[in-house]
Amino acid sequence: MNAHTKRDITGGLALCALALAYLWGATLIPQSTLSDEVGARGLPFALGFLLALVGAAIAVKAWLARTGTHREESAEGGASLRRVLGLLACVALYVLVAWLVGYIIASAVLLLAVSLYEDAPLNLRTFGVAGAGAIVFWLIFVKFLNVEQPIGKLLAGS
Amino acid sequence: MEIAALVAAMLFGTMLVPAALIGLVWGVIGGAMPGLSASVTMALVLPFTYGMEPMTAIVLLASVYIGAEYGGSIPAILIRTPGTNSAAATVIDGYEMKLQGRAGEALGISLWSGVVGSLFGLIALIAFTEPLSELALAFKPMSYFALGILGMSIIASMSGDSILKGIAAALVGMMIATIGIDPLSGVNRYTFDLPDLLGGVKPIMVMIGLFAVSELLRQSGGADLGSQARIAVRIVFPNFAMMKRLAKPQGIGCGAGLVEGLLPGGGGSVAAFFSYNEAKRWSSNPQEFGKGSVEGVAAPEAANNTVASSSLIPLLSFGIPGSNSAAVLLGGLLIHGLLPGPRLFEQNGDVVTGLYVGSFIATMAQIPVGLLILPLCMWMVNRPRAYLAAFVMLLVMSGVYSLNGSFLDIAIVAAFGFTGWLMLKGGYPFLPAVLGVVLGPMVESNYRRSLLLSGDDHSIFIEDPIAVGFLVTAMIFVAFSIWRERKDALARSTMKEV
Repeated sequence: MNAHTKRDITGGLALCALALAYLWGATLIPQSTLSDEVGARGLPFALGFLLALVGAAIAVKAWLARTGTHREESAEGGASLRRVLGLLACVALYVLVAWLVGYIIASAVLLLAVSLYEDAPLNLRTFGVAGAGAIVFWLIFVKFLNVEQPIGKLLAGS
Repeated sequence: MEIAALVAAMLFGTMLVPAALIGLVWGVIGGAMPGLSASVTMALVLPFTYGMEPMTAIVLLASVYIGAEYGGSIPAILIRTPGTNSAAATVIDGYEMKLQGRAGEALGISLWSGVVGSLFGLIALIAFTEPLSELALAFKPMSYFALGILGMSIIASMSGDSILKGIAAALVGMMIATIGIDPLSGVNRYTFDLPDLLGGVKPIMVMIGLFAVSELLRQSGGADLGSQARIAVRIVFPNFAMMKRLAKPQGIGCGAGLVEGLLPGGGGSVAAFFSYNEAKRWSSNPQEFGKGSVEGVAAPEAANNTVASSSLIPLLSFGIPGSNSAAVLLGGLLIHGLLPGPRLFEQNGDVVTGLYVGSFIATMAQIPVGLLILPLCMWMVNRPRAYLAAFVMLLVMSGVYSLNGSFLDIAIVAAFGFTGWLMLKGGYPFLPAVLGVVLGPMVESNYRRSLLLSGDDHSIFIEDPIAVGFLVTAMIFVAFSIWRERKDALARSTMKEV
């Protein structure tokens, strides 16, 4: 079984699991006395069943074609799961710092973290780019465009 | 006189001109950066349009689209890497011209053809949009339901090599659209007692996550491309004799762009490759194609720039986005409470007129802006990818927070970014998911309203001639796409056997 087949079987089964979770959620939707015949649950139930069917069809189709001819493995997904989770961790760090100390410091932290994570050298230039970039963003968005940005819990009262 | 006064008031009394110029500059820069497609470039500025006047916001987004289509040809010609998908056909002869020391000439032809294509597309947009939208005045809930189904049928042609995956993506998109308060009964669905979810997940969040964040995640750890572009280039604009020679391939490009823009799911890349093929077929010098033909640059560039305007025709008339970029523009309309269709022309005529005027300004400004900002584009393309990724990520975070001042929005966008990366890994297309989010509520609410009107009798859908027309068209469209998929699959397996 090649990577393409494994990918489609895993994807199909994941869709089935998502459909089941969604259907379970549909059972929790309250019934309203104002409801029409289809009701608030009507579409969610239909969507859940359809997704389960389509997910199963994708998995079965991939399983049946496992010994047949295969296309080249697509590299469209690019980065590995570990790299992707690392980059998302940089976003989580931004949220945490922004919540605590506000936009400008969080911006510098995000610029520095992502640059280093994306293999920029650990030198004064990278720190300078992060610091200057944060100030430029703050000037453009907060001062010039007056766009709302996080103030920071620790600085909110000051 | 009235129109002239309105246009003058727009030009001098609003932010229309700055919006068109800023949008154009950002579009050219974004389009020139490999990895930032036109839709990603638009999605990055989408949240910042939230606080703008509707007309300024729409002009800005449309101008970004126009600029990105030209910008995409810059790296296509200089470093053999199309900045946008639709510039892929330009690589063939554009890069050959660069190898022959004619990069400036290729960029000039690309710029001129882009202007010709954009102008043609704009004329078509003005001519066709309002008459088509008048049709919608006769629409009943059944017609809107069927229109939603017709819009969803695009999925069949946007699903790449698996219609099943396209359907799965659309179903997930429709599921996301069910989050929030049910439009008819008022009960909460999938809100998990979070007040921020009562209003549902806004399409803009899905678009930024899927188009912009997933692209950053996909490119993480990738190599720099810019070093190849460290050459000095000056744009050489075509002279009159060359303009005459380019007229035929540009005409072919404009025709292909118009048809593809009108067809749901066509898009700039299909139009560009189709026009390249046809330009070669009708050329008196077909042997030059692939070896640095000026016509081979002109035809696809005219085509993809025509699509930038003509794809707005089904969007503004019926609210059906035929491409990713049109879907982002629809997001821009929706966040300002503007619903495409005849009411847009009646109630927000100034926005539509502003869009036409702004698009014209952006089109005409392509030449000076293209000439002036080429050095800036070259400088940007040459920046280390690590710094570019960091700045794009900060731009996304700043934009998303500005929508509602909520960290939950950032979490939602990051989650959709991760979902988008999983979809890319699994070969699932984005547009069906976006269509599901945008068209899902329209399909559901009009289906239920129709049944309320008929006392739960489904025959109401075949009693409405407009609904029947849309449903039959949708069925033909899906059947054609399935037939084409089977034919392609058969061709692939025959090739393998050979």
